[in-house]
Amino acid sequence: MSNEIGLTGPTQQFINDMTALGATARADGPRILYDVVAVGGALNGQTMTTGVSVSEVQSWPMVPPHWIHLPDSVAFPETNMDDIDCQPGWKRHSRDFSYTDMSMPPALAWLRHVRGFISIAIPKAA
Amino acid sequence: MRYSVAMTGEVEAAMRDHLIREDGQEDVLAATYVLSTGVERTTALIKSVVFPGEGERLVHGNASFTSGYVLRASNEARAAGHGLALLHSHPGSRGWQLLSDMDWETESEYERVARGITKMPLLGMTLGGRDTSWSARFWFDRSAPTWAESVRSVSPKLAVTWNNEIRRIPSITRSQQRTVSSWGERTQSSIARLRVLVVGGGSVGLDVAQRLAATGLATVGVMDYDAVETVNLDRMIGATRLDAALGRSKVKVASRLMKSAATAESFEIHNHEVSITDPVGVSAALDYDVIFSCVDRPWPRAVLNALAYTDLIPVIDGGIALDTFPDGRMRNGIWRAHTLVPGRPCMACLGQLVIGDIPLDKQGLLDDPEYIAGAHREAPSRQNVAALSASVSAALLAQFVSLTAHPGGRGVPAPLRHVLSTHTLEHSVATSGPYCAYENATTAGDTRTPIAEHREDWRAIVYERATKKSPFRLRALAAAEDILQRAISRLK
Ligand SMILES: [Zn+2]
Repeated sequence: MSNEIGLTGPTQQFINDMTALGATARADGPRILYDVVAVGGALNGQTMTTGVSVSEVQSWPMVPPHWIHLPDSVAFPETNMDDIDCQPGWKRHSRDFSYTDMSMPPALAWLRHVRGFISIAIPKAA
Repeated sequence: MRYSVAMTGEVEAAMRDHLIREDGQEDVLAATYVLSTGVERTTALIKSVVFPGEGERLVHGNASFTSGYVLRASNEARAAGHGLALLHSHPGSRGWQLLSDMDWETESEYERVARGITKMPLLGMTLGGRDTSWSARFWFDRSAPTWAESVRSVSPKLAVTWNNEIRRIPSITRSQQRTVSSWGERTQSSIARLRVLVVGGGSVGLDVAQRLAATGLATVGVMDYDAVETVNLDRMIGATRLDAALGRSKVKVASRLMKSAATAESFEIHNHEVSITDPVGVSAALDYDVIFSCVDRPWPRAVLNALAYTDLIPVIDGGIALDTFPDGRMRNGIWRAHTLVPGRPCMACLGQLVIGDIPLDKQGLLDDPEYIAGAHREAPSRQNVAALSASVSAALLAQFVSLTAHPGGRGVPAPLRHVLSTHTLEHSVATSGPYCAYENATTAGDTRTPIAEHREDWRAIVYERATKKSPFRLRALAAAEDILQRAISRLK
């Protein structure tokens, strides 16, 4: 379901900033989805759809999101996770984002963080 | 509502350089502004300067705008969603300037043009050339202007021109003799009129608040929604066992201690039992000229980090970190102090605010032991000692003096860091990042990206405290204490 109601300035800004970097972002109900290519780990080379909660980008870019949404098929050695704002069959994962280098655009820093996270995914136990 | 105008030092310099001419003639200039709306004060933040083109103004005796210049500037302002400011200089004058009949007529005439095009009031400003003093007025209709109370220029030096009619020069009291002899009556009269807010009424905030009161400031606000607890008594100097037993709010305790420390003839205290991370806290903060950040969590610090730039209110921030050996002995202690103003790096650029921690703080995860364990994070260290917390408040207050009194003609230093184990004072070489979202939002005013959020949790704490009934014995002690304090405060 696409988000019919207007997005707040910061939400739209997040979508624009990610899209400008090639990670075409779109609103999807209470979340924003975009695609990232994994550069290592179990998903190496695959394009993964991932996302963030809309509620987490209300102060973008001054406050970045934290939780990374991914399908259940993607597993990690150990993370905090829950399914708030996620579509069925998805989880959101917590991973510390230590962005302190303001010489990098916020969206690029976030994209690298997410790409780095997806690239340490492990094969899902059968 | 009070009115004021603020600008960055950079904008001020550009306008001053244009308005003060080598030939000593008057000149005129247009600029645009946005509003920053507090509870009791509305501030116009000068956004951009619209320099005149060839033939757009006349400079002979009384300088004047051509209507083409005013129209062009109005249209530029409207395109950006800003208001219009018209400025002129009085090269030979000093202090807050009033309007001559002719200037009155000019501004009154252009009021309609500005309002018609920008839908915002015309802002009129005058520069007194002899001492670089600015004055300002808002034209809400064409009949008469509403005078601003102050105009401030914000850079590593804070320079305020006061409208003495609206904010009177406080008289020097007997108990201020040594303060005044340190920096002179003029500096005292400017500093004493600053409205200063202390956010966080803990060990550092409480100390800072009292010293501001003792310095002779006429208005000090303290913002904190929390209460004094027994665990605070080792550091909150002046807070009593009775305060902790009653669970008194930190702002109430600060207010009592400030009253007894104050040296101003009339001292005004504002108690804000609210959170700076809520829009009500932000609105209250927008009424102030300088803010002390005496909070240590990422979210409130992020809100203050933003306000310093978006609304041109200098924020003085700092903190302490104590480090122990595995056997519990002290390894090191570091305290820092820095002032956030345009032209100096923000907390994020300094590495003093990890912006990735802000969402965790907002979601309460930094206090969630299960989350902390799952994330393999270390719980925030809570060590602190009263003997060192005074070093933090001292460092913050020294920044305040540099910001407002400019000893040696200098403003605030580069961010400072005192390392206890090596006994060194280090000047940070950190610079502003080109993509810093905070500094790039300088003078956003009311279009700022909101970081604060309406929450019920702190409201519940304040409500519960207000409705709680203490045991009779404690109430009796509180009443006796109150009588004693009233009697003491009547002593001359
Ligand atoms: Zn910055």
